[in-house]
Amino acid sequence: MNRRLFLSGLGGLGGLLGCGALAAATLEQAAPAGLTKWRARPADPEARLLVVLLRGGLDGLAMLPPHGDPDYRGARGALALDGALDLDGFYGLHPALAGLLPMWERKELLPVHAVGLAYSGRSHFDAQDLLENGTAWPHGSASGWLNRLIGASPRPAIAFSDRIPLLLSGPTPVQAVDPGRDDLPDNGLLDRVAMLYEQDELLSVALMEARALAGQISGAAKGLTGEAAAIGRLLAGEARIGVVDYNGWDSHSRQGDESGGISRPLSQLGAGLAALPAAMGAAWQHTAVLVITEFGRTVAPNGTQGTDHGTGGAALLCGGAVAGGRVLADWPGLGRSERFEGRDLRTTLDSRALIAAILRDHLAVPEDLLYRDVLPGGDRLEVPAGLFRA
Amino acid sequence: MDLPQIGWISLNRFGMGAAPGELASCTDPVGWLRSQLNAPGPGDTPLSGLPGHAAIMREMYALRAEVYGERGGDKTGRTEARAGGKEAIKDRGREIYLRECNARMLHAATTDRSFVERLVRFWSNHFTVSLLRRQVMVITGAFEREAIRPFVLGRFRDMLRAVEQHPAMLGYLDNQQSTGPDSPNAQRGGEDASNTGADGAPKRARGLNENLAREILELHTLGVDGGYSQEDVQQFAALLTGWSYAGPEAARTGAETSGDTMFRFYAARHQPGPKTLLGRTYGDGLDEGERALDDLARAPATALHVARRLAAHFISDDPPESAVRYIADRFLQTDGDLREVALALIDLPECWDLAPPAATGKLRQPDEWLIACMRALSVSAEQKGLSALFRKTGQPPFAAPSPAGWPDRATAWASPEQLLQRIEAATGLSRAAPARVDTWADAVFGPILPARTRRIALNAPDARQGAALLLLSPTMQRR
Repeated sequence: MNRRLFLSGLGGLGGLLGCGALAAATLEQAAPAGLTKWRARPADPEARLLVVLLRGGLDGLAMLPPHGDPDYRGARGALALDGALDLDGFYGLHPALAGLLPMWERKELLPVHAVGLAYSGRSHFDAQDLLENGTAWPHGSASGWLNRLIGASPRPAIAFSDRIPLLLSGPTPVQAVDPGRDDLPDNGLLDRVAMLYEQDELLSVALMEARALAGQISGAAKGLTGEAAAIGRLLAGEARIGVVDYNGWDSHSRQGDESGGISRPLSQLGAGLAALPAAMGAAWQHTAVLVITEFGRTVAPNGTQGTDHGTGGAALLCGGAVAGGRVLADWPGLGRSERFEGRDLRTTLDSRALIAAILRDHLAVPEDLLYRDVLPGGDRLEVPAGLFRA
Repeated sequence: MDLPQIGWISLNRFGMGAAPGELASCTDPVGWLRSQLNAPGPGDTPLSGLPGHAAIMREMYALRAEVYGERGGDKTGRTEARAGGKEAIKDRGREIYLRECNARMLHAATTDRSFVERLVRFWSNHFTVSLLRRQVMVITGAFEREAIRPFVLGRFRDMLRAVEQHPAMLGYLDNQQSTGPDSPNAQRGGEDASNTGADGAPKRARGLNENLAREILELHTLGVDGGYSQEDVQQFAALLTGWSYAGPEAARTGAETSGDTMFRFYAARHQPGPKTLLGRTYGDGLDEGERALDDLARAPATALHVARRLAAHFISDDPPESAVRYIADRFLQTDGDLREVALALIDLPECWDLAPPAATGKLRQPDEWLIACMRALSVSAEQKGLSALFRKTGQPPFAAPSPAGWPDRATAWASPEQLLQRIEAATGLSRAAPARVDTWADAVFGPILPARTRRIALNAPDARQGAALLLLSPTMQRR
């Protein structure tokens, strides 16, 4: 579809996010023929999805220590946690995630273990690309699966960062805003800049989106913790899809240290997620948050008290719509022979299958379209059921 | 294409931006570009006289020793003085980093060889080191001055070696402690003087770290589709074991013998035995690792990978395959002579394509846009808040988000938030604009400026806003 046409249709009404119906109508006219089948509104028009991308390869065994596994201590060596918060006798949470315990108690938290992409190249860039492009191959598509989703089933989407990640990039327009910003530049200046950009589609679209969005953000502190309230407010409004980019999980060295280790980002992540229910109010009941990373890390510590790139890892699914209070995992074990190539946690759940379950069961995406346009070839995946409340 | 257009492309797509009057005086644009590649190195620049990485590291080691005491000294009893000392270390680190940033910014804004400067920045991004790994922040600037600048018109293989042996890269990609599992050091399980942590304390960490080896193959040389396997990564990592830099003690004792580098090859950490990388077998020692790097530098996949990145930087986000091949061929024919590769860029008709509308040109990244603004405004000295603009607009020096460097696609730099930051930055920069915006606009843009853009800018309520609008215009945002 024509991105410029789409936006100019909305811009005059001031505020992109308040125009869901119009957005749908505009798409109706402009959508390519292949998408005409998929017009159904989601079963729950209030359904929301926030994806938190942890870039760098989160160590799943640190976030969700399987401390009931007899091989755990031996396999993890100095990285075995003493103070893990027990969940069910077998799995625990990293102590820095204590903020998530109330969510666990409310059965709104569904940790997922031994999950990963069908990819063993261990490259950040390929694995992130694969996670975001939604095909079965790195660089298999120049657009992200969330962009293709909202292309076929219009829902307002926002990237909560200054850049739009591949996950949300593609032909369908989305917005990006830094939840930390406050004032807009002078309106007269913005009007003139808009005139300058009339012939430049990329810049004119960016400017229209900026004016529509920035008004809705008020100041918040840096980091996911401080910005969670702003994100929650925007998501509780007209937005239905959000993406948060969170860097800094590539823990090659001294990852167990109090400072410089992964405790600090984990505690920020936990506090940020824990702040969402209050910020979102009633909308939380319609929300699923997926916290996911490109790959897990080696089971054993490396020579520098960190972990190297691996394959299987962990994810979190949480939200009022989630049927949580249990850990979703087909546990492969930690023994050397049970590992992938003798070094990584074996993947027993494909990340794309987890994503498919969310899109199918939470956002009510029809399966034929889901596996054709959003996650091509995904019909061969074993998609878990029952992750959401009835 | 007429002369002003050719001049404009020379100054902006190849160079770092046009100063007032520069377009009018650029009567032989292609000759201007070629002469930059032949001229001897620059004389005195804002970068002259900055200390090398060895001096910086010695200073930081000495500072740490003051705060934490000598190695083996009392590590307990953290006093307030020590906490204050930690702050002092941080402050000094920031000071060194900002000194580098300012000098680099001013050099780019004032150099008359701005094509060479663009090449420096291209290669610096190709071989990214980033302050996201805090320990290397103080030597990121030295890295560019020592491992990139001297080689941008030299051999790729010499740059590759300088890069991979620079402590900034070794630290950024975790190789400094990588130890062969069968090395004497790992077998002894002991300590050596070089193996000390940030606070000077000995570390017992021992083992292979494959990060550097992987990124050399994936990013620096062959490219991700370059035909290597996980086994190649591990074998290459073994070849690179022992490539490290001097810790505090070794820095003191080795100062006389090692010249001005802190790079050290620690044979005691080197994995013994044959290693096979891409079907070739290598033996033990520093020489064999260097031989492997040389072989990678010559690989056809490396030429293609480098050529694709260059074409994407100089032509368009999705450059034609023919142009990529042309650059790669020159790279291979000349054994990676980067001066020849730069000349190949000048030869490519695609680099001179300024098809209307101008909106098809490359969108300037924040860093190069700010430099172009400084050149247009003739800003030649640090002014309050100037260097902070690089941070605010999203591209602080030496802070790329990953070893892949800053993205080189327009869509990565055109989010609403980024545009707002540019608008705010332009408003600030416009303070430096002359009062007569019309004559300034003509001196910078000449006949290139679309009449409509000129009219909108000159109809602004005040001269300052007019200048800001010109800095924000597509003519300045694109190259």
